[in-house]
Amino acid sequence: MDTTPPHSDYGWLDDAALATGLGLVLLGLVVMGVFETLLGSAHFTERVPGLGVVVVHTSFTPRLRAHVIALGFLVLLAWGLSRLSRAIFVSLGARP
Amino acid sequence: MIQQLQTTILGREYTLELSGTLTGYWLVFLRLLVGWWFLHEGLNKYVGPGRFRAGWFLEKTGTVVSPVLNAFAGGATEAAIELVVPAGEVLIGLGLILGVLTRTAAFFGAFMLFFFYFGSEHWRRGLVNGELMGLVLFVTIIVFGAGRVWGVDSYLETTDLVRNRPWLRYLLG
Repeated sequence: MDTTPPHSDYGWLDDAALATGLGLVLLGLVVMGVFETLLGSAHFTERVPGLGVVVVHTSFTPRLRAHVIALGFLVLLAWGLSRLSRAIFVSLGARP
Repeated sequence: MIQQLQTTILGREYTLELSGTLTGYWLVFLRLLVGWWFLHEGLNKYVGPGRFRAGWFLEKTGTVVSPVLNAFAGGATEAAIELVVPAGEVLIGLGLILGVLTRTAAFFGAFMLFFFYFGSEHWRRGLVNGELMGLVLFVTIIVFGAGRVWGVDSYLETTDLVRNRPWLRYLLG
């Protein structure tokens, strides 16, 4: 009977995945948020001849930030699924 | 009871002192609160006026998850989503309140909130909003395995079925 707790074997791959996933979420939310705040208003309108009034974005668009955050969560999801599959393989391998 | 947790984060060793009692109380509180939130949302969709419709959400364009949402818009898939969302919310709520298959319930809660959060078109309430907080709460429940305190999972984890298959604890907890 295998009674090893499933969380006892964190290696460099787990560290890398956690740091990357959580880092991307923080990058999109906090780091880019700080830049947005420091750079002031993210949007302004400008009259462009022939085009009329256009909205100009000066720094990171919310859409770009959302993609970075989503990528972070997807890395965490992939890591979680890899942990589950590794645990299943170990469990199957330990059986007689 | 104070527990000392020793861990290594990015190559550096840390010792955390954690009160087991406080952690236990907080995890039960968190589970019940988030569980009731989703149970209430699900039940409201059944008892509220009018049938729950998902079309407006599935047909959204220009969001991060629009390509996925649009693939389910219209026809049988949209009808299926309209059945699955309220039922899923009720099951997730019950799972969290009773502490049954807690991590699985929290995973599907996080899955739903991922789409609610990234389904935003304009981010009028900013990127840190209620949906993100809900998503983070579900992930917290997964991380701590909150069902092991005052939950049915604490019993299930003592059964031979789970003892012989430790990976099942990823679904319970």
